[in-house]
Amino acid sequence: MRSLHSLFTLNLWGWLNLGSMEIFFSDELRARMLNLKKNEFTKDAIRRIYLEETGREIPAQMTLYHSEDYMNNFFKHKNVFDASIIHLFNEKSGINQVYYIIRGDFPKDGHSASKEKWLNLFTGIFVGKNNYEFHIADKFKNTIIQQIEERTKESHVSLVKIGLGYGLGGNTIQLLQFLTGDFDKVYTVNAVPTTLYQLAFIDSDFCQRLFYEFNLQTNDFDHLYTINPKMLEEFAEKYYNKKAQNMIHIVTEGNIFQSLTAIRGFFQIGKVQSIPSSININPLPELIGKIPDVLWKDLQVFLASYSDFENQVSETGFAKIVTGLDLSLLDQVISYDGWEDIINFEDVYSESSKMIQLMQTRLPLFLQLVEGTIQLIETKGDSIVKEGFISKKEFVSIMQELKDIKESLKKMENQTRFLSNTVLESDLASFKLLIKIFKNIKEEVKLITNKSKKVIVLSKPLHNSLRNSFHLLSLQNTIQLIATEKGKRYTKSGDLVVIQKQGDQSIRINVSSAIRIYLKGMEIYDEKEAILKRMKEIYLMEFVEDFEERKRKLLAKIEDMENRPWKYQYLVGNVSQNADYFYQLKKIHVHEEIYPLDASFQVVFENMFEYYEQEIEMGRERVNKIRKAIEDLFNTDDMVADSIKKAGYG
Amino acid sequence: MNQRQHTMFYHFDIYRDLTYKEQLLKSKIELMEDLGQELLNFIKSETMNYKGDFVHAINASIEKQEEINALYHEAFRTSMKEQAIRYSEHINDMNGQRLTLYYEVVPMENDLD
Repeated sequence: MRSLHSLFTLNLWGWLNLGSMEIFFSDELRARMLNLKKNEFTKDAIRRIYLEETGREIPAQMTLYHSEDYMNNFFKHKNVFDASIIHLFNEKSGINQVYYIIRGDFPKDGHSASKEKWLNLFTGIFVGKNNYEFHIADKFKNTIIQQIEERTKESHVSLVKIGLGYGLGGNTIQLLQFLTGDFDKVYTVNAVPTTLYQLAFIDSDFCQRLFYEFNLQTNDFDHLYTINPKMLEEFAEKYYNKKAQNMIHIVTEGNIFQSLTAIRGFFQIGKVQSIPSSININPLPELIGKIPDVLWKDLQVFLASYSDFENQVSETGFAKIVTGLDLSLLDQVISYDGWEDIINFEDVYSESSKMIQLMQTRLPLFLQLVEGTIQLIETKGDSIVKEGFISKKEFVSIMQELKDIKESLKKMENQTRFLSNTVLESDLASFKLLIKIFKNIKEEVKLITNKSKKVIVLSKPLHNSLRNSFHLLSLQNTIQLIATEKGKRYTKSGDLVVIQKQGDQSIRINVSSAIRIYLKGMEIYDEKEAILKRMKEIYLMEFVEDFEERKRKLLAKIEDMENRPWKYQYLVGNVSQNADYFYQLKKIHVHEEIYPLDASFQVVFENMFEYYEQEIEMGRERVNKIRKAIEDLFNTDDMVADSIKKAGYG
Repeated sequence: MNQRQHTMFYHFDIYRDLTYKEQLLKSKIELMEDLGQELLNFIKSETMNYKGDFVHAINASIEKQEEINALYHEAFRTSMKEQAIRYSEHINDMNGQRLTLYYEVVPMENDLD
């Protein structure tokens, strides 16, 4: 430790064998890399963060790749996958490292998370019925790694591959490691754990082993949902255990994704680093753990029953998927009330019949799920109240509203059944009956909407708990918690603040701000230097060279005059005034009084240039003092040295 | 035949106003000044909310330097104007040269004789 510290103090950073060390060696560095949004993920930002966290410049050349630049080549779902790759290379220092960074943000409140993310969580991960996230991630990885390997094929330093993932991205990076084993190390922050179902869907070898092991005499994937999930999870954990040897998960206690492991199918293997949370939250994860497996199974089977769930949701909306009800068709038919002559009579009938058929199959399934949920909440009511999520009175009101919703759904089901059992003719009477039934359904829809709103209002305390749990997920919060453990702090705007002891006093130093001033200063002096260079060029071109050019042209004219005097006959005229004589020009002599530019002329420019040169040099020195002070700060606190030691690369 | 000579002043080029060259360098001096100001403003906004660390001492010296720079920028602007006038005059002077013309005066021959 002491020897490392001495090395830093002597500025012998470059003497360390950097190749054997991960450039982003600390949890803060990795979490801050993950926290950079795609538009913020620039070389400048990465350099700044590295400087803030280590007091030093990144000791390698950087190349960045962004998934969105390659998406068109891979897949049409542009919004879903969001990743970047950093390649760090320095042959001399033995550095050849690639960081694959997969983002997976869920906004703090959880509600505004994009539809695709929720769909990925439910249908891709929980049900295990979609694999496009994995395939894009794999294709992006392979494409870029191939490019990097091609570019560094002459290098003797082998490529070290490190995977980073947050949230849903944490799920994807684990999948990649489980299936390809490509990474030397994988780090996740508050990752969504993997499920055996998604792995069985993507990894055909695993799926085959699973079916063989559990003696499943069927090819039906959905059969997996009927097997005891704990047994399947244990098998999956053993199957992938080797690939998880170098996997480290940072988990803030109480975050919503942490609780997912209590749900069927989810499992997390690798080393887990729990970070205690400073926020006092309601034990939502515990509550999730108390939900009986049968309800999760019902939900899983329900979602799995729609093979193309995602495409249907994006095209027609949630209501149609779960109940079969097409609200716009309902409104269209109702709007014909009072008309005697409908032009597209046949079309309206045909569309309505299709909807009724769909509702007949979907509504009972949905109703079954709702009934199961109500039953569950009823049995768990006491513990929900006991945990302090809601009061007894609020609980009773919520139950009443939910039962009303169930009744409305039943009425809708009855109306639908009645319609499907009635033979409708292409006459006005039948059409009026259709309108009447649709009006009844519309009334129930209105009731359900109002009741749902009331449930949302009544369960507000539960929302707060959910919001807290989502807040704990956020990278900003996680970075703060990691930093607190190490005696550092980040401001709300993300600035790193270090507290330095000076005698009895503690001084707050905003390292991020100091680094920004340093970088801005360097940028300004670089620009000044470029301008000074341009000024010197202007002086040379517009005065020194311009003078020589004008002189050259003048001498050419003089030479012409002296060699061809007859061309200048007009200077003496042709004949005398009385026309007795004529003049014949024989020779011209130019006196050539050409003087160089005065020496003092040059001195004025030189003095100006010299002043600016010194000003830039002194400015750089001043700004460098800021960086030196930060470097000393890190050396004094042994922060960098500690981090390296903890990472096991000292 | 009668040999004669005549000395005169001759302009090899028309008058050229080259004082525009002042602007080429003045614009760069202004850029230098703007950059200095930009750095100052940046530092001020960064350090507005916290006090008392090493950055402040360095900031103060950058601020002082910019005050000195402002005086120099002004002086250089004036110099550039003078230099451009000086250069313009020098070039126009150079283009005017004294010449000596040597010519013969030849009597006209009368063809009728």
